Amino acid sequence: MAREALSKQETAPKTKPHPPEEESSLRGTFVSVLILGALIVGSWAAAFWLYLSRG
Amino acid sequence: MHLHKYEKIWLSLGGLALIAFLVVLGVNAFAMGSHPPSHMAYVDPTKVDQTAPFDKPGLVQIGDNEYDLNMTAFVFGYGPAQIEIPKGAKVHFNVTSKDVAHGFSIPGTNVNMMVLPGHVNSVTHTFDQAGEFLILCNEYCGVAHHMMMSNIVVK
Ligand SMILES: [Cu+2]
Repeated sequence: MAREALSKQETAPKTKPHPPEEESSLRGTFVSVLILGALIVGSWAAAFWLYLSRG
Repeated sequence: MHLHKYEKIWLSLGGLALIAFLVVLGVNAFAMGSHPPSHMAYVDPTKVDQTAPFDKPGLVQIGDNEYDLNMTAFVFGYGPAQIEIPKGAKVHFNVTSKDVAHGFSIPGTNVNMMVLPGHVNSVTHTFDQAGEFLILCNEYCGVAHHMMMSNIVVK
């Protein structure tokens, strides 16, 4: 039986049973990008508000 | 090309932010008239004292509570050194230098520009609140740079 499984593995086609491209987890990256984006937009909005308030 | 779902989201957010900034910039420049403080006006820097309107620096009424304020900058001061402005007046500053590059900044307002010999730089500000305002030089221009100032009294 073990021999049978081994030979099956050896002759199995190259495609693997799971999806071809595994989705890597980008959750942490996504959160960091959103935090950085919020910082940039926030500081821009603050400077623009200052500009308008002094107009 | 394969893009991760999150990558699509943050790329779209970046694209939208770029569009938003450009729209704000366009509205500011073309609808609200925000421009760099230069009108491409020139003056002979060696003849500032003989050239109108800088031969008589000061406030000139040009409309209903609207004024031209022609000023000179020099080492180490501004002409005139004391200015009275009526409250609520819209003031168009026209400033040129008699010698080196100077600064022209009024803290607490958006008035902040360079003053270069040979050029007339302009900026407009409406003085809605009474009080005293300083005009300061923020370009290092020599040993008494820190003494260079003028005073605006709004009342
Ligand atoms: Cu100066």
